[in-house]
Amino acid sequence: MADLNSLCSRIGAIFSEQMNLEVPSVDTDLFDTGLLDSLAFVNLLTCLEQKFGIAVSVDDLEIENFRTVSRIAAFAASKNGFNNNQ
Amino acid sequence: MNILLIAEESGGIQLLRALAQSRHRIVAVMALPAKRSPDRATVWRVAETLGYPTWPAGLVKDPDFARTVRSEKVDIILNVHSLYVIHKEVINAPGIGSFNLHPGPLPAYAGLNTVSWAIYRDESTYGVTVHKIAPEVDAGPIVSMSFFKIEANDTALSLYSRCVKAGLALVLELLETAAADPRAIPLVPQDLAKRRYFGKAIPEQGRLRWSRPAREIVNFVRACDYYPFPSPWSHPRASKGGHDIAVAKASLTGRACDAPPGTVGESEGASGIYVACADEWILASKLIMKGRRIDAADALRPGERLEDGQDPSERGDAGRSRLDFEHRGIADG
Repeated sequence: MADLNSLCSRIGAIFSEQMNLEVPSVDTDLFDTGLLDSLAFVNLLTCLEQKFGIAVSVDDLEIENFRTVSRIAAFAASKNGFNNNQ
Repeated sequence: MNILLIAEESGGIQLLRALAQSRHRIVAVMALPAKRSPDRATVWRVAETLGYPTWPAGLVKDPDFARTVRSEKVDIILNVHSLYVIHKEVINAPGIGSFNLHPGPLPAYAGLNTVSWAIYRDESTYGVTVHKIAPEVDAGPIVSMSFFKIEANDTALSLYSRCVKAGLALVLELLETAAADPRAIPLVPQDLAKRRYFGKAIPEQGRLRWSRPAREIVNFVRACDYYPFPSPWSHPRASKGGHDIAVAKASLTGRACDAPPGTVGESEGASGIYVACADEWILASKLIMKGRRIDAADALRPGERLEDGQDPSERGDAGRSRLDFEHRGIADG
């Protein structure tokens, strides 16, 4: 749980520093609130790949994997090649 | 080098951030001013946050803007996913040149929405191109290209994402070459006899015809799939009982069928429901009905018959060419 918490913080930082988006909480619905639009989504995928060394495949592009910061964290942590130390 | 960046979309934002960490000087960032959606990230807003001068992208149409380009000693203009046609005086103003990143392989896929067109046309590979800008759109000599496979389950969004990533690498490579020796920038003329330009029109006016082969229908569905975001082509439109039904998600089954096209077959529950095409059953999993995305198996019953999409002029919306798309940039490739 502690690892996921720190991962959530890192992902939150991606949103604020890389994407200029402030997400109110790790459980904020990013799609329903309009925070994650198509531009931001593509940026997010690139940032996740760069920051954590994962590869996001077509099969991964399932909306529920990216609906909240906490789900993004769980998704990233589940991917082969995930590296939280980059 | 002194760089003038004209950019929109995700590719523009990512390139801006990469340039901000480079040794190059960004003279200014030209984009659509951020007026709407104050909470959305745009190139303009990101540039402001990073402290760069921001100029309206429309200035590139003005020949007098060339004077500004020269007075600022711009070495390179980089155009990334911005849709303004740059005046030729401006194109020729930088010390080294003006270059464009096109999200498609040239000369075969010039123009708009080329990501969708490639999937629709059943291509197995795709690519991105960096080229020197010429007065004719997407026609200038090629600097570099990057190719990649289109996977069987690629959607327009997943393929577009790959274009952004590949394109960023090519642009950064161009800058490295230009900084070392501008004369080393490759400039390979395009064989314009092989050029195909795609405009704004949507294939078949967005109408789905069940009498087409299954592969063609599924490709059309995939080409329109930017889920979870609105699609610039909307979704292929069929009808049932005179009401529109759009197919948002479907897959090939490889199962031959001899049922009349449009016949609804067995249900697979949440996985979808079979619909007959000219040659095979497809598994339709998601539909759009009355603006809502729903499971196909909840909306259709075995034995029902779907009709082809209605002619837009008969529907009274002949002027519709795009529905609910969110970002003009993605819409226009």
